[in-house]
Amino acid sequence: MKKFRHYMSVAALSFRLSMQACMEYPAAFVGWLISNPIQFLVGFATIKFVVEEFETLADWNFKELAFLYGMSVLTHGLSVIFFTKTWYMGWDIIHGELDRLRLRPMNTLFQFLAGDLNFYGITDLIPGLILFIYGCISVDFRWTFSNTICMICALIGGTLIRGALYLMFGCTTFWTRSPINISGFFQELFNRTNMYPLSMYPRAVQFVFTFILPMSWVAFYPASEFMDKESMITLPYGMAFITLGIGAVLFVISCKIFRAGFRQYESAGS
Amino acid sequence: MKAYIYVAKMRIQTMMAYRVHVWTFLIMQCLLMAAVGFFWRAVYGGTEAAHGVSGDMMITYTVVSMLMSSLYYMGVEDRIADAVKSGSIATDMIKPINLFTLYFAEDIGNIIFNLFFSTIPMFIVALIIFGLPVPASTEHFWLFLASFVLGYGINWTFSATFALLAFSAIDLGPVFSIKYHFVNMLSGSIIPLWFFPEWLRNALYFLPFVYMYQEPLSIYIGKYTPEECLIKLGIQAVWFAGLMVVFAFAQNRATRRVLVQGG
Repeated sequence: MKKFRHYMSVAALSFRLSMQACMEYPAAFVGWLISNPIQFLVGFATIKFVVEEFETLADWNFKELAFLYGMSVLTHGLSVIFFTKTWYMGWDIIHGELDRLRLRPMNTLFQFLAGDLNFYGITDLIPGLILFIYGCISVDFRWTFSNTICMICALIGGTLIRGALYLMFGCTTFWTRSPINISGFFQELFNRTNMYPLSMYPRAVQFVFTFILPMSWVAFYPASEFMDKESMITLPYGMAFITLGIGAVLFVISCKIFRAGFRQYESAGS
Repeated sequence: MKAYIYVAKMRIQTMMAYRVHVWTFLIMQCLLMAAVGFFWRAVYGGTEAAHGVSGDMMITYTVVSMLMSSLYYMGVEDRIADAVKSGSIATDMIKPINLFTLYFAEDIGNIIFNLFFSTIPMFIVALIIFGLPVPASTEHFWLFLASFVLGYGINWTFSATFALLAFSAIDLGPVFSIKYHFVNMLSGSIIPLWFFPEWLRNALYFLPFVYMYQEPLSIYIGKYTPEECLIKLGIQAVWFAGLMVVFAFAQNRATRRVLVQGG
């Protein structure tokens, strides 16, 4: 318990540092505060204009799509706060930045992730929250006890799935020694599998994003249960818990990969 | 001229060195193309046509739009921003050739590189998934090519003018990001403007963005008669000339500024 409190206090301190660093350049922060929401506004307008013209997209109407998109963007915002470090970890590895983690008496992965809680993530989180609330209101989402629990599980699971996949692919640099910038690529994939209903794609594509790269669990499957939609897998109950389960399992696996990679991390020369 | 050809060639060789980057970019573009294509297929469903455009035409529109965007790679933007930030603009400026023609030559190199490593592979992928994106007629195809070249000119001068902001600001990340999303949305590169509300659509015809993607693409799928196409080409030419004037004026001011700072 004492240990836990210690870790929390470190995380809080790191967040405060990040906040102060960010406020050092208020103009840049305001810039991102304007530019990031625009990106989602564009995505949202896209759905609105087209789907209103045709009324439905693979059986989903505009309000339901707004709900789906809101969930997706909210988990994106959360993952940006907790996992941005993983986007550029390839460079940290080849530049020997991870040396410091070895010296401190704390869990290395915790240090790695919490060492740079990203305050800029707020600029993604705010539009995420707005879209999420808009989506919930427009489909008249009922905040009953079980729905609330399911929603929380789905959001945590979705955030973990995003973060774990970023981390796993970021870890490849431990072995390949060449950094790759996967963030743009993965965000695009997450967007495309959770912004439109997955059921509009051919079966093979649906299969890949359900079982091989389980990206569509981030928002599509839990949302389709809330909205009572047909999908490749239709269960009577519990999609949100599967999302949480997948998120947890992927996160544990990615931690294992990180540990294995870190064991053979050799720092940079001279 | 020989110097510029050399610069373009060097650029191609530099690009070849970033293999991982090339592959991820290509895969990403293909994914995006497939996703948008399937989106249109799903959205049209049983609908015959909307705004006089059928589902097949819409998929052609998407595929050609993605091919265009791979050729519309504007290296000049990051190039100027990086050069100003790192100070290498000083060495670029003492070269005995025009600074911006140099950057343009580099972008020509980028185009040639992208044609082989991005556009053609994407075309093959599109062929497999969606079939051949046929133009409305041969005549429309040639008109499209002319319109595409003008569209490139508009896009390049716009990006270059925009990048001159780097001379007066430090962190341009968010500004470039806003510009990127605006161009994406307002040029009709993803969603054609005819789906937009009327007031917005009418307003957008007074901005240069539509002449980058939407108008060339509309010509390709045959939304206009050949006579109308010629008028569109004329408007594009006017925009291009106008932006050139603005750019010439702006670069003159910006480069004088950097001399004051000492580079």
